[in-house]
Amino acid sequence: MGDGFDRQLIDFLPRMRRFAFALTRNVTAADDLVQVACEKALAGKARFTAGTRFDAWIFRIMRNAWIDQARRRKTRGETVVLDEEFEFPGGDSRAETETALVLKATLAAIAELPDDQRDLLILVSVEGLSYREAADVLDVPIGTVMSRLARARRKLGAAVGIDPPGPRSSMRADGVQGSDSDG
Amino acid sequence: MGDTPTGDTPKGGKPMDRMATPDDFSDEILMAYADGELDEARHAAVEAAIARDDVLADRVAMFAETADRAKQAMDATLSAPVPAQLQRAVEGLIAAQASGQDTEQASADAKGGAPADPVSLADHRARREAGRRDLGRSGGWRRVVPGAMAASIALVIGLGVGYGLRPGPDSTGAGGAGMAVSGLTGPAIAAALAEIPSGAEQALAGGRTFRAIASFRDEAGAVCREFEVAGEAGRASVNVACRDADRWAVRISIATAAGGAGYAPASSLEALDAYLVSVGAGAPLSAQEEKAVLETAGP
Repeated sequence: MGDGFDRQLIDFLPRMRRFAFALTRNVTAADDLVQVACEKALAGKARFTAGTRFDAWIFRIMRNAWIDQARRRKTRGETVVLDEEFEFPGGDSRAETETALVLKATLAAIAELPDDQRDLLILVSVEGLSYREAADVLDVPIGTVMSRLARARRKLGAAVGIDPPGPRSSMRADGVQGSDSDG
Repeated sequence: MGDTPTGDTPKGGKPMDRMATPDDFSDEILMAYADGELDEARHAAVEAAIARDDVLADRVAMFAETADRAKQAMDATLSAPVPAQLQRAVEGLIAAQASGQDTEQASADAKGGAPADPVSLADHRARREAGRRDLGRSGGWRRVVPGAMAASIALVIGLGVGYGLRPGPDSTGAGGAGMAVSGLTGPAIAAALAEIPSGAEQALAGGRTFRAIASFRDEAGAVCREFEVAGEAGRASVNVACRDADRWAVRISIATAAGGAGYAPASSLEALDAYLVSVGAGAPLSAQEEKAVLETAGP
């Protein structure tokens, strides 16, 4: 432990910020949350089991800290103002290449997802947690993980134009979705 | 092969072709296949099915592709640099934790209880609460926070210079700007910092109120004071200023856009706690110690 843990934590900051932003949708609150989670992680260092996933452990701390803050806000009747532009820090590439545009559209679609679906998409599809690990981070049954994640993926697929599943023989070649003229 | 009767499948909507597909797999199962989550038997079953059913193959492809896209797009955001302030704060937490490990950490571990505060934050928090009770507040600080302000916490950190006991020739523009943000300019606050004992408050011009919360020494031994300024146009701030020679320099100011009788939201106090940790704040000075150190710098 010791140095290894500390270095791991520092190296993990970009990914913590990414998840924190997904949770909070507010840059300031996100960095606040990262710092609070780091404090908790360091204080709870002894409870981290070597050989288990460091990222899943941290994500769970972050998620719990966020829930905790949200609960306290709720009892006080506070509201959190979301950033007007839900733009992931670093996701605002100015490049207009096709790849950049695809990335942008994808991020925009992820931003549109309901919170619980987005959290799962990030934990599983982006961070590579298993369904089981994601279920543990979020404290939900694995069946919920699967149904939410499937919904998230269907929405994302539709939003970025990955053809919705359908028969191969459809009018896809026309590429004109939403046009009724082919009826 | 691909011969499922799906002519009446609605376009663009949710997949409705399932019922007409001989190999009936839910979206969840197909997604789990794409994600490599199925056990061997079910994995093989899906594999065999998609080999003879293009529609199924398409559905699986959609799940695979959305995962790839999400990862690609989100990974592009990782290049965003970690703010130096956050990085420093976390490094400060690590350093503080390393040095405090033998004491607080050990005792917390022994109790098997709550995580230990690297620096004696508990003392600082207690002092904060006590300060408020002394000032006649009912209930703890953290429980009387009104709504709708957590959103707009402006964090001004490392102002460093430019806040003299008396406006000096070396007051820099940069420091002045920082002070303007938090509304902490003027000799009145400097005087209050030098004189008002922790737990007491003093009215300032413009309807503002200065409240001294605690005094402590930072890692380098500098005398620092935690204080609040409230009441300027509904704004409030929690601050730490440290004495450098005969000058008080504001090191951190966490402003909250509080409505009316506003108090700092918990998140700003957490930021303050993190700051205290990062500068290696010692325990709050006792009233006598505080009196002594404040007097030693008398004009």
